[in-house]
Amino acid sequence: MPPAPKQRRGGGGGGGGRRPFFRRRKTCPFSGRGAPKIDYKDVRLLQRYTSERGKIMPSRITAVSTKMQRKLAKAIKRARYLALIPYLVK
Amino acid sequence: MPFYENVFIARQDISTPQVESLADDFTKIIEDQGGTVAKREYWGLRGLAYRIKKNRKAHYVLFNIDAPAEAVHEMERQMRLHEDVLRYLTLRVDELEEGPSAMMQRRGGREDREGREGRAGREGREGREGREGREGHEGRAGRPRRDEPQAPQKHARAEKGTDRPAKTEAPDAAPKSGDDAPADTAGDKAAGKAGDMAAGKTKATAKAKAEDSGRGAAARKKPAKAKPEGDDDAKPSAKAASADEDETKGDA
Repeated sequence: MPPAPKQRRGGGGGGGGRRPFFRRRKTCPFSGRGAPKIDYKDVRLLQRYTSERGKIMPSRITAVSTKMQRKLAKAIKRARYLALIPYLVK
Repeated sequence: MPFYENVFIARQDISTPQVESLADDFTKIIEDQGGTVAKREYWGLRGLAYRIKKNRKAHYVLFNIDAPAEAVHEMERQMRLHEDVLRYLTLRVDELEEGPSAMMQRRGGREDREGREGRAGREGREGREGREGREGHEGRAGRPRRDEPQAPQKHARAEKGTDRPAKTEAPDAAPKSGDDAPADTAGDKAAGKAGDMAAGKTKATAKAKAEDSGRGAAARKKPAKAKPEGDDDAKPSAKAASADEDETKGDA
C-alpha cells in the first residue's frame, strides 16, 4: 500500500525540517532555569537586545516572551537614562 | 523599611576623593533619618553614552539603601540641589542585591579576559570623539552575539538556512530519495501545476535520472542534485499512474 506511508510522511513533513520556510520555535532566553536576570546595570546583556542603532530589538526576532520583553524594555530605558547605553547611535 | 537602589552620576571634573565625600554626605542623610546603606559601589569614571551638560565622562556611584521614604526623599532633594550631580535614579526594589552588581562583575571579568582592550576602550575614549566611542559600543554589541546562541538570531537563522539543505538533505536524500519524492508531491501538488508543462517534457529523462540516482545512492552528490528532477518526475506520476512511484520506490 503505497498511499498510506505517503500520507503519514506528508503530515510529518509539515513539521519536519525539510520545509523551506519552517523555523523552529525558539524559547525565551529569560525564562527557565539558569536564565539571566534582567537588570538595568547589566549593560552587556542589554546591548545584546538593542540594534546597532540603539533601538530595542523586537521580540519576534529575539524570541523574548511578552512579559520579559516589557521588563527588558524598562531596563533598557533606565540604562539609557543613566547614559550607560545610548539613545541613538548615528 | 523598604529597600531602594540609587545610582547617581557626578561631574567628570571632580576628583575621586570628592566623589567619595559626596557619597559620604548622602549616606549621612540616610543614616540620620534612621536608614542604612547596605552597600556602596563606586563604578569609577565611566564614559557616558551621550553628553550630559557637556560632560563626556562621569563618576558613577551605586547605593543599596534600606531606609524610610522620607530619608530617600531628602537625599534626592539634596542630589537635585547639588551641582556636581548630573543625574540620579532611585528605584524601589523587592530585595537588595548581594555581592557585586552586574557592573562590577562585568568589569572584573573584562579585565581578566581582555584587559588591554577594556582599558583602551575606557581611557582612550576621552581624547577621541564620540564616534570612536560609539564604534566601541557597536563592537561590544557585536562581539557577544557571535559567542552566545541566545539573541543572535540572525546568525542562527543564516546558519540554519545554509546548513539544513547541505547537511540534512544530502545524507537523507541518498537512501530515501525514492520515498521523499512522493512525500513532496503531496505538498507540491498545488505548486506542481505550473511545473507540469516542464515536467511532461522532462519526464522521460528525469525518470531515467531518478532511477540512476536511486541505484547510485552511494554517491552522495547525485541524489541532492537529482532531487528536484525527481519531484518533477513524481508529480505527473501521482496524477497519471502510481506505476512511476512504484518504480522509484523499488529502486530505492
